[in-house]
Amino acid sequence: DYLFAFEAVSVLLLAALVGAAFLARKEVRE
Amino acid sequence: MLLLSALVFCCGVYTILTRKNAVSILMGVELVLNAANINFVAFAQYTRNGGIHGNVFTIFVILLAAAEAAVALAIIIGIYQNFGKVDVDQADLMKE
Repeated sequence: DYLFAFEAVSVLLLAALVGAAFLARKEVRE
Repeated sequence: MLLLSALVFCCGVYTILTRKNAVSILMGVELVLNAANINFVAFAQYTRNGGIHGNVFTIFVILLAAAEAAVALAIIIGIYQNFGKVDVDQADLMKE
């Protein structure tokens, strides 16, 4: 019953983790 | 169970309102979300025919709390890189 909902939440979690990794990166300024 | 949920919620709100450290404030937010989870589980036992809707929604809330914690920690890391500390009173500039 909740398969699609869990899939959608897993995609949301993946997007959140990718966004967090992007926000936390350290920029190398030359 | 509801009293436990209320106690955890009050602890979370107190933590959010009284702490300066951003990580401590995040922990307070997590306490508030867990209080909501306890409420969902407590009321789930009153559904007819043994429904699990409340328990499934609890799992959803846990997943969303994990996503929110990841983003919040990334923002805290950005604040630390710019200001040198995670004191929320010091982070009052949009851009240096």
